[in-house]
Amino acid sequence: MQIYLPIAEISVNIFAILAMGGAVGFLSGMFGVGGGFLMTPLLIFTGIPPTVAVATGANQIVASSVSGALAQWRRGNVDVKLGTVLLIGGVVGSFAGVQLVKWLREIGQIDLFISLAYVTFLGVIGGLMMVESLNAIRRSKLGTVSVRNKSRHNWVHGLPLKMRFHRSKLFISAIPPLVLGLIVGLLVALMGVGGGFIVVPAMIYLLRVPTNVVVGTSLFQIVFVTSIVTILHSTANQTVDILLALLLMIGGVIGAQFGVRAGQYLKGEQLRALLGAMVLAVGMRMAVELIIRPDELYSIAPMLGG
Amino acid sequence: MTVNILKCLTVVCLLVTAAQTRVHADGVITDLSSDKVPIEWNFTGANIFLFGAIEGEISEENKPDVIVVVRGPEKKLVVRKKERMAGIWINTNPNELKSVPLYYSVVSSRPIRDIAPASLLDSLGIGFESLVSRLSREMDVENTKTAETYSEAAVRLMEAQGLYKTGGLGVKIVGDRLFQVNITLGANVPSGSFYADVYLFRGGKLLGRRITPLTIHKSGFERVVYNFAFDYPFFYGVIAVFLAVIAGLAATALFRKE
Repeated sequence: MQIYLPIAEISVNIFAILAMGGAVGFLSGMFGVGGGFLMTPLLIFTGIPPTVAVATGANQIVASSVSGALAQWRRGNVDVKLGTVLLIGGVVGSFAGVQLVKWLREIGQIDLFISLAYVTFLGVIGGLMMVESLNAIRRSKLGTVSVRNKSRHNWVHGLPLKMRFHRSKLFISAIPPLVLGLIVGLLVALMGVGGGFIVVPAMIYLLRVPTNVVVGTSLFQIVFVTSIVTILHSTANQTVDILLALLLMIGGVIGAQFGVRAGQYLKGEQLRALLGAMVLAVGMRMAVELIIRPDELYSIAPMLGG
Repeated sequence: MTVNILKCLTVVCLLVTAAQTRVHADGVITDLSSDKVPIEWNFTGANIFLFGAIEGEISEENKPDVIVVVRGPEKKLVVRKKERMAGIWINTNPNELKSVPLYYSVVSSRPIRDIAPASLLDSLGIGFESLVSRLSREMDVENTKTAETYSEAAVRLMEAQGLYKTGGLGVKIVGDRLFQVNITLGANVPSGSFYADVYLFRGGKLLGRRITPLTIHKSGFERVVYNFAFDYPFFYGVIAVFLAVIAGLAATALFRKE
């Protein structure tokens, strides 16, 4: 059954979109990740304009992260102060990102920029995941246990503007969380991802936030930043397709339920290796399209801004 | 079935009208099966029948020819050329095309080249070649070769999207005076004001011309959403977020019960 998307202005198969939302939801449930970095490329492969894919992706993440954030909040796993500092950076990053998208659209480089951003991030993250999980698998086979450096001090602790974050039991400079928030805001606006894959490791390894607070605080931040990005993209670029977002939400929610169950049957390292492989595959597919000579060298687009 | 009945009715109507207004200056009268096409949530394209009647003297040795050109709304577009830079293909050299029809189709009773000389077709704006030359004339580019290359690319790209069509011989002349043509609009057809332009030729000369307007508009849910998104973009964004929050919470509540 075909359905016409009012903002993307194309007719798509309703079941294909539901299935796509479901597949990404399944993966995010299984791996415990947001899945935005898989959703946006898939939407682009389907023929949805990249700018619509990014803005609608951000909107969909609001739905997929709100209940998680609320559950963490109830359990007291949100460091509101740290989350707010991240959020301040996030707001600045979102504004900058949305303006950047607007400008890149006008000069006709937005599609290229989104692809490049994805190739870079998917390549780096997929690669790191693969290496890390393959090492873990090898270690578990050898039966050795790695000893992590437990020191709670690194270069981050030398920076000025120190603030006390009670919930995280931290006394650190506000600059790293502000910058981190800013980067995430940019990523959400430019790539339609939640940014959890950056925030979580950065909070654990860089800020040394206790693990039980990390997920809740990151979700808290994601809900607000993706909401702000949705509104900003809608205001500046009119690229949020409510109907598309709704279909993805429905598919995603159902898929996630099954994903969580499926994830329980796989080991952590295997899961991460699998996810790493998938992330690399999507990144490679995007890279190939940038590198091979296109059949049609010319492209046509509406005149914007001028 | 209904379309067929409508078709017959229209043909009869046209015949009657043709008989009544024998001496008509235009030499051709036309009607569309529908002059307003709504784009709704389940829109996958549309089929429109154009019916027409030819007026005036008709002789065996000099049969009339009909060309139907459907033109969509025009818009300023940018064409860019990809070039390889540092290993990747990047859009470069943007050039503006002043007013490009977003839809353009030519259907005729015989190949258009056999119907009229190229110069006449060109002056009437019939055919891709005429469109390309008009587009390149309008461009602010010094080099005419460049202008032509970009205009050709624009036409080629629109053709690849199914928005430009030519070479169709779908105009069927029934008997001596009646003709019909099926205009197919794909799901990606833009909304706006269209014109079905019917040209009547005989012996390589233009005898008559009739323009029929046709509106393609977003309707129902599509229209509400689209207008809201562009007229109140901020509130549209707020509602999008609100819906997402509701959807997320509802889903959790739903699955918790199980």
